[in-house]
Order: sequence, then structure tokens, then C-alpha cells
Amino acid sequence: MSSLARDALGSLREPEFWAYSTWLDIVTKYRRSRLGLVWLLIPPLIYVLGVGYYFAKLQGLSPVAFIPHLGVGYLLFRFLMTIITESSLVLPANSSFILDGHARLTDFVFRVVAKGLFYLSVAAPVLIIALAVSPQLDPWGLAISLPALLVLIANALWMGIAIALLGARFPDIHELMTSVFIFGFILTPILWSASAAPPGTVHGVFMRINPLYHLIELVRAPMLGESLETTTLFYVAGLTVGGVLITGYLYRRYARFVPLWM
Amino acid sequence: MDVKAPMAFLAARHVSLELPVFRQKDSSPGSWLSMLVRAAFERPQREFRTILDDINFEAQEGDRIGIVGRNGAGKSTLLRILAGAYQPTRGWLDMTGSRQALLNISLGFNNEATLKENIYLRGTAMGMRTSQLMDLVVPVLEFAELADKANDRLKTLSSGQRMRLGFAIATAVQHDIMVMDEWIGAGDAAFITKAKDRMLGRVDGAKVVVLASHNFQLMKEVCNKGLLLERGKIQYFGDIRTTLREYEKVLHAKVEEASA
Repeated sequence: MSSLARDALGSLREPEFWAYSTWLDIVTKYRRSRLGLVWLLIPPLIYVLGVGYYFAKLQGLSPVAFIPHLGVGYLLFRFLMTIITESSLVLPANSSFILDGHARLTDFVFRVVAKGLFYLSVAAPVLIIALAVSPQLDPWGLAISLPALLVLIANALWMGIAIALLGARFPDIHELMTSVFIFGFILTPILWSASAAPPGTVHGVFMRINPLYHLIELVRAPMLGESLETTTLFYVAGLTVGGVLITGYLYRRYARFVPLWM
Repeated sequence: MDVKAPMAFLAARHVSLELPVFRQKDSSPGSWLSMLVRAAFERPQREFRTILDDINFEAQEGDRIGIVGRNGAGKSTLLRILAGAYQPTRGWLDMTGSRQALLNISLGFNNEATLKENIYLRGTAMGMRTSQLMDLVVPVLEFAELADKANDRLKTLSSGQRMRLGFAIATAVQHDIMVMDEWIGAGDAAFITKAKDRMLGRVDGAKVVVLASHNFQLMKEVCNKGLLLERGKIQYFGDIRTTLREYEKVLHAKVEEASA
């Protein structure tokens, strides 16, 4: 019988495999390019500063105020999106390990999450600059945003594990996720502000169904001094507890079948 | 007998395994067009098939069991159960001692990374801790005779060299039980002799070895017991020479059946 708590703790206690293989994946990817690891910085730089500036002008907003909003939103969205989409394929991708008897499946999801965290922290300098010049920055809010980030990561973990199990059984999951995220990016207030979709409107309802909206808003709103709806707090609390319980059940019930699905 | 070190022991008790298989429906198409359309839209059917049926055997310390059988008899599946990847649908394994499987030669290699980095990588995948990894590199490279290539990218190795590297890593740390698939044949003669020595336990070998192979010579030299699988059932379990003779009979019967 596989226990999610036991395996997840085991992965944390013995990080060698997932941490080292993630690091190797990242460094070998850029090893032969001229700029090397600098390439990691270029997409967030272009997206946060370039797209941020352009979209601010397009909407008649002040770039120094809009860029941090877009930057935090985009980087957190990218973090969650890559974890969810990559998790849907991670178990088949590691089938040779699994078929050789490496039964702790959480290790593979930790690989995905560790990679996401690495990309997120590489982009952090861009964000710090954007936040430093922002007129909205709320230093006290940062004290709330940082623990909120841990909640977001915890949610990314259970989502990754649940999606990994589902994706191992149904290849459809990966196709579904890639399609959903095209809409998901527009549905989440990254290029626009949550105030544009007030409660009671159709688009407001859609936005509030989207778990990524609540997770991102929980981290972003406090540090930028934006208001946080109480529904977000309840939603995230329910999402975290419910998600962990459901994933624990799925893992206990189905993890042992994963090698058979390969 | 040293009381503190428990004897290595491996036994399968009534092990059966059913696997889901996906099948396209067998249909006689009316035309080319309908065949193409069907291939695109018909969902495969999921059915369960018994791959292994009531497998029972025991391996005591010092036993080296050779698994033989025709293609599709269930050899690889049985190895995967012994490696701990598949859990049997019915039955169980009794096991004492640490276990290491070498089923897949390309397992966990990163082509863009250097040999040294790949040794670390595969070491961590086998559950080694940081302190052990540092001591792993030199003996592995020496055994694989690749010391001069330590910082080359893995891509540049030939398949035989990869096999040597894989074997060297997997056998670098002594495990009580070793489960191996037949890829050992890819090495050159000198290396096979060296690998045999390791498996025979002359050079820090495992106490129980389970090996699947089609190489009769290798089996005769390495194994003392044999297990003949036929359609997921044990047809014979006993000493290796008798097992190979039984296996020859099965092969022979099939040839006659085919020519009749």
C-alpha cells in the first residue's frame, strides 16, 4: 500500500535523486549554448518588462504600476502551468525508472516542482526590480505574500501528484491540460485586473471558478496593496484541504497500478 | 554462521499477475476508406490478461537462477515483479536482503551530461546518499574501463560502452539480491568474463542472482538453477542443465509443430 504522506516525506528526506536529476536537466540543456544559463533570465525579462510596458501603454496605465502586477501574475501562472502540464506526462517519461523498481512516485513530481521553483527563483531579480520601483508596494503585505507563496507551492504539489496519476492512466489528461491553459491564461487576471470582472457578472463568475486566480491573487494582492476578497481565502482553504485529501486517496488507491499502466 | 548478517533469501509464493491490455477490434473492413476511418475512431478495448499464473520458487543464499522461456513467456514480467516494480495481483514475495535490479540498460542516463555526472545520477536513482556517491566514481570508471572518458558526454559512448557503464554502476555497491535482464550480451568477450566473475560472487558479488537470458553458454557458466517459463506458468524448476534440456525440448516441439 502506498501512502502519500510517507512517500512525500521520504522524497523530502532523501532529496538526492530528484534534486540532482533536476539540476542536471537544467545545466545540460544550456551547456552548449553561448549564453548558457543566462537564457533562463531572458523570457521573464522580455515578458515582464517588454510585454508589461507594451500592455500598460495599450490600456493607458502607468507602466511602473502595471509591470509588477503582470510580472507576479505571469511568473506564478507560468509556475503553476508548467507543473500541471509537465506532471501529466512525468510518470510515462520516467517509466524506465518505475519499471526498474523505483516505486516512490513523489520523487518524479518533486522533479517537476523543483524545476518550476528554480525557474521562478531565477526570475526573482526581475521581479524585485519591478517591485522596488513600484509605487504600490506594500512592505507589510510582503509578510503575508511570502507564507501565501508556501500555500501556493503546497497546492502545486498536490495538483502535480494528482495530475501525474491521472495522466499515467489517461493520455487525454495532457491534451486536456494544454487546451485548458490556453483559455486559463486569459481567464486569470494577469494582463488585466481582477476589478474588471466584478462578482455577479458572467465573466466574474468564470474568473472565480478558476483556482489559479485565487492562488495567484492570494500571493499578489497583499504585496501590491490590492484588496483580497474573502471568498479567495475560503476558496484556497477548501482547495488546499480538499486537494490534499483527494490526492492522498488517489495515491493510496492507484499508485501501485502505475507500473502496470506503462 | 554469522548470526548478525541474515541470509539472503528470495521466494515467490503463488504469484499471479493480470495486466490490462488495449486491443483494437479485429474487423474485416469493407473498403480501404472504411478501414482508415475505423482506425481513427474506434476506441481500443481494455481487457485483462493473465501474464503470470501461480509462480512458486525459492532461492537460497548462493543460488543463481537462470530464467528461460520463449519470447512472450513472461520472463521480463517476472523480473519486474522480482524487482518490485509490479505488485502481483495474487500471491506475494518473501525476501530478505537488499535488492538491485538491472533491467533496463538505458535507464536514467542523461545523454548531454558527462559520464561522471551520469554515475552520480544513477547512483542517486538507486537510493545512494551524497557521501556514498563520491566514492562511487573511480571504481565504476575503472571496472567499465572508461576512466579516460570521465568528462566526455555520454552521447559519445557506443552501446557496448554504455552497457559496461550501466553494469559497473549497478553492481558497484554490493546487494544481496540482483535481478538482471538479458542485456549483458552486449559487451565484448573480455568484459563478459569480468561481469561473470562479479555475478559468480568471486569479486564482491550478490548472494542471490536472478538472470534472464537466451545465451545458453552464459547460463551454464553463471547459474546453478534454472526456471523454465511457458505461457506464464513454470514448466520446470531445477538445476540449470536439466532446465536448458527441457527448454530445448520446448523449442524443438515448436519447430516440429511449425514444419508439420
